[in-house]
Amino acid sequence: MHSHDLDLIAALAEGRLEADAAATAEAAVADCLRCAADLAAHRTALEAIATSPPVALTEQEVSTLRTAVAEAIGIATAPAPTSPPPRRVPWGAIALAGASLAAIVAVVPVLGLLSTTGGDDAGTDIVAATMEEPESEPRLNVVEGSPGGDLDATPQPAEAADEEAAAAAPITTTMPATTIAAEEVLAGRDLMTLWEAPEELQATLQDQSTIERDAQACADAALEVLGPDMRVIAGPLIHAETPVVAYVADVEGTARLVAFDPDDCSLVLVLP
Amino acid sequence: MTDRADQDAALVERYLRGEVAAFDELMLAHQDRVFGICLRMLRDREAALDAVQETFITVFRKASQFAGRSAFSTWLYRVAVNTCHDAARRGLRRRTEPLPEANDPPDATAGDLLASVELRPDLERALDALPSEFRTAVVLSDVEGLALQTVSEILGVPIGTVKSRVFRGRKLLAEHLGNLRAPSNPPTEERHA
Repeated sequence: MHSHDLDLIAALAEGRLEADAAATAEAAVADCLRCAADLAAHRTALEAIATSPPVALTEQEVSTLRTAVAEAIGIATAPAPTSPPPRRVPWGAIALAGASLAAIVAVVPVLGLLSTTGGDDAGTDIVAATMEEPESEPRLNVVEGSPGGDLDATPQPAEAADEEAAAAAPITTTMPATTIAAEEVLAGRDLMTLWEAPEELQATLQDQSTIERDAQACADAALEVLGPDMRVIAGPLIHAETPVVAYVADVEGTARLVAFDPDDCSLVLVLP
Repeated sequence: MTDRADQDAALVERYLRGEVAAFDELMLAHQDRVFGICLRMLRDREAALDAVQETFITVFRKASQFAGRSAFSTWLYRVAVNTCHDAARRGLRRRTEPLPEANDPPDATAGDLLASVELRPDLERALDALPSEFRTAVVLSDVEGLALQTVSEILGVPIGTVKSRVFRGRKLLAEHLGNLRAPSNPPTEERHA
């Protein structure tokens, strides 16, 4: 084997080659120490995985899971569990996700100030894309548990959750109008300064260094929205708790922000 | 689309029309594999069960947004992977926040963490040692047997990146397996090395 052919080594280790091709590859690998070492490593790993027993849920876990999910999404005919009570639904975590998204949506409008040409109605044309969510969509149908997002928070009645979420979540299709005072406060500050300055925004989005999600999360979607001439200023900015991926980009001299749901990269918000 | 993908698409439509049976069929069809992914990624049965629950809640609540551009299972597994990443991050932060006093007694439950997975211990420890992006790729590709193209769609990265992660992940896995086995299996007794 004259070159270190990774695909061939993988195919050989996985047993995907026909007998003749496999024999040829084996002979070639034998002439390449690095290839032979890699092949041995692949086989060791694959053998360990192949001999590992399959995992499966127990009957009780299946029943408990089914009950918890059915209750959470409002299927009323869920059967009662056979033994222990249903696993807790982590309302706190879900609520925290919704609250964090609301916080981001509440904070980012100020960014629009910096990218508009000014005027009293700067920002009033900012449109947030809707996600065509069902009425029971979790972000709007939950309330926050403890301030720290206690995972053991007691589930809230759906009606109370609806009322509180409706009051707390300013997620609308049109962002709030900006004010002259706000423009004065922000006057002379550029986008990056603003991005790094507000503690709330910093706390919400700063710990990108710990993000394990792929660094290119929703990059294609951002490109599609902002166009090929965009230059990413910051992003992907992914909140540590809630699934929101945001990009701030310079598009022909204008700062713009887009945010996506990382589950499917559907557009959540675009500013301006 | 495969038969399974077609069946899933039909089940999602039926679920959105309010058929509880479709909900049950979707759960039964995918819960074990979602659990397998989460268990291998989180290596803790309780945490994996929580992640599975959160995954299905998210997916069913957003089912109306499923556009069918990819297979339902691809979307489901992508949500599962992201949920597990978030859960792992929360768990990591929770473990690192309260620094124990030096003279505190050792955590009696710490040793049970891997045991609770109830899988082959050396493999689980070796998987645990992998960087998360490699572990995720190996779990999806080699443990769950998903096609590289599917893994690429789940992770939202090019297929070449998936290949690279799987390749490097296997090598690291083999290294860690060798290290883990060394104390009880001296080199002279290794038969397949």
